[in-house]
Amino acid sequence: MTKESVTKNKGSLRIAARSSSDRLHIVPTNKGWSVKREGAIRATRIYKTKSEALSGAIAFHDHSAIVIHAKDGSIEQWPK
Amino acid sequence: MTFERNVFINCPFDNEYFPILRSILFCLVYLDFTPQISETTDSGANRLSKLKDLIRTSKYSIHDISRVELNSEGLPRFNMPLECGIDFGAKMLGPPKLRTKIFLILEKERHRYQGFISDISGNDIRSHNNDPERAIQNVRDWLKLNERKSLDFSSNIWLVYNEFLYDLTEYAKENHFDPHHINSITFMDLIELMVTWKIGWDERNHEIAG
Repeated sequence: MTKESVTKNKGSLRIAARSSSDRLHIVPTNKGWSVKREGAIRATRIYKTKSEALSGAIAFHDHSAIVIHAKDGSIEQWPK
Repeated sequence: MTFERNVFINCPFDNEYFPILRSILFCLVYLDFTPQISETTDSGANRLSKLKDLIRTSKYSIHDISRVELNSEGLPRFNMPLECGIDFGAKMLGPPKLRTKIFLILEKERHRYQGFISDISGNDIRSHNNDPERAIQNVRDWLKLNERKSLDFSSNIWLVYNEFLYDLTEYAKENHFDPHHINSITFMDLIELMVTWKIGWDERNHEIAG
């Protein structure tokens, strides 16, 4: 795909932002590790460590796909 | 495109800095401001001409001087201080409208600027420590201070930004570009994708609220 047409399919991004998902995001923050359900405005809970956040996310909803983010916001671990 | 909502961004264009720049762009789009930034491909007279337009049409400016150290060839990176100086000149010497311009100076560490560009003392100077979350906090708090309107907390914007990056990375896979490389797509394209995503995000929240 050329640079000129990279936004041609941008409607799918709008749909992705609108859609409901059970996906949980584990995000490093300056206050700790946040667990946030996709689409929610605020974190469900903040944990001290990444492993605690992961355990908390699994306990919160064990059927949810879990995304772990790196310090710069990129994806460190994709849902399995 | 209104003067009051436009934010001129003067920052380094390199891949190491890109996570900071991208977070700043998202924060502005999320808060319904319009980022004004030249493209990495602009050069020479064309670049200066474009800069003049961006400066003239933006009430707000973000100048990141965190990367002025010597490059691999032992030469200092003077573009950011030069563009910062042009903007200060526009504010001080330009027509009345430009005298309302408001600047945010971003630095890597607090007080480091005093060693090489101390004349900017007295302006709003904040450090991001090369941390995108801190950069979002800097920008959001600066806009809150100057707009004096209700703005979402920076901690929430950071979480929403992470969610955007997930969707952007999925989109990039389908559309064959590298979302983490500064030259993979133009800034104009990236901003357009952010605006589109934000429209969907707002629609979702209106549906939930309504």
